[in-house]
Amino acid sequence: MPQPPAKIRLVDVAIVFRPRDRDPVVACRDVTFDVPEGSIVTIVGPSGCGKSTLLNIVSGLLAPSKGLAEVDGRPVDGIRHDVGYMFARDGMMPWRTALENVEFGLEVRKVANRREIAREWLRRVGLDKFEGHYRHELSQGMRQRVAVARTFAIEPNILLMDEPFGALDSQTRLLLQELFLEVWEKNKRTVLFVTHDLHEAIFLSDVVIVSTNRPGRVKSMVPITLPRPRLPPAELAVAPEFRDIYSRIWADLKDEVRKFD
Amino acid sequence: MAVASVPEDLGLAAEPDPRIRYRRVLIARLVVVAAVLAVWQAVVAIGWVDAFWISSPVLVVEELWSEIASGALFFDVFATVSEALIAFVISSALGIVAGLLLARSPFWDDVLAPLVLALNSLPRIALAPLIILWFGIGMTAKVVTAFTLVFFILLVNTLGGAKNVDNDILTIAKLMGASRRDILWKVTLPSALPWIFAGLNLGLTYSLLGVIVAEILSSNQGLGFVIASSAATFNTAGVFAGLITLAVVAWLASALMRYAEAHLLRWKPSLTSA
Repeated sequence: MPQPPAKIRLVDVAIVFRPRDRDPVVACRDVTFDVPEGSIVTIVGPSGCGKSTLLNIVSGLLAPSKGLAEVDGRPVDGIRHDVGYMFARDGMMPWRTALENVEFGLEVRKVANRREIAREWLRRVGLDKFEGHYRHELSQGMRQRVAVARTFAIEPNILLMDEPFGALDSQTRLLLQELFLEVWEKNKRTVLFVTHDLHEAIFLSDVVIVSTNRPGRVKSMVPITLPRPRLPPAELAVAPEFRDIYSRIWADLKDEVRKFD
Repeated sequence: MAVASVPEDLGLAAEPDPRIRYRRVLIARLVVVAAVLAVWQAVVAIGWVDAFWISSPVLVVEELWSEIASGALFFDVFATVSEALIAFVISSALGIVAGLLLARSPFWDDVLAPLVLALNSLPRIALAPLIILWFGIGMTAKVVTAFTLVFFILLVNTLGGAKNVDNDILTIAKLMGASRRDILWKVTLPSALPWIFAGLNLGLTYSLLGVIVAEILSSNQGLGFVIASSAATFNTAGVFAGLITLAVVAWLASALMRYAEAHLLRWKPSLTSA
């Protein structure tokens, strides 16, 4: 099968943190993998294995101690402005309404019809009736919907997701995972996703990368061959193919998580 | 997702009408004030304390009336208010700008932080005699005295607010392509606004304080002068008239400030619900 070109590529990346007055910590090392154009690749691994750090390297917020990150075949050297970034905290600006939050990225890019674009995205995440609401007037799930709209509204070249649904209750999380995939299906941006949640990883991804305990290394790469568009997460979870994949990945991950005990 | 709006009738117990409560509060407040005035008047009328020391509400009203009638009161209020306002605007503007600049430059923040702390700990009122020596008894001395107080309040508060911007918001703004200018105007400033307003509220009080102190020390006009010169001539009614006018001015100013704050910080949950 011909491989689609790599959109994001990490080559032999290592990250060493040097806290003052303490021994250096190797967060991850020898990390090499590709994220093919238009696919979702998810990294799962124990806490502290440098998952989020890898996202920061791809976004240019952090330079690797060793190795190289590339996007579109060119090395990352500085903060990228073409990434959509989401994390567990919503990052909403409390002084802006939901609509104004979605507008922010378009505003700094001087997009002319930003209001209509932002409205359209709020509608797609089901918040059209809440455009004038401030952060404190929205539930955690709604805030994360705003974050989804804000992230997609700027039509990012790549998406970096750092446990974006991690702070939600489990029902809301399922709904947002579904919403995310639904939105993603329309334009198939390249996504590098990080999560603890194996269900989430399998439901969303084309490839799941299992990371070792710290220092994080690529332990295995598991292609998820489930057909797209995927079944809703709750239905998918009981499908036999899903359970095979789940137990395979869990077998890999279990040893790494155990090392903490 | 269907987000339920609040249904019309939840069968909730009827909440007491807030307007009725507010009216009660207002009436009780008036009763308290009337009681204090009555006791004050009675104490003097019975002869427990000589009116020479504490004057009396009737005497104070007479004094106020004569000062209003002669126009002297407006002249003094105008002097004090304009000095305080000029001091407030200049000191706040410069304090906010300085705070934002220091927030952008960690190096100069480190250099200046202990110096600012030392200056800010100094009881600035002690500088007033020196300031009067330098600038004379005109408006400048009053503005400068107030400035030494208010500038630092705004500097410290703005700096605190600007350094406490949520890191997630900053990261997202940067990744979305916000320039330094965008970050300043669209992130740092709105995020620091509650801190700045806390500073402005305090700064307003201290502007008035600085101006009044300088007037008391050396002046020929203004409410501070009225109070000081009345006391010097044993005119207690004049002192109280000056104090009451001052209280009204201060109250009006802070009411205006609260109004502006409620408007500009309407996104703050505590303010909109309060």
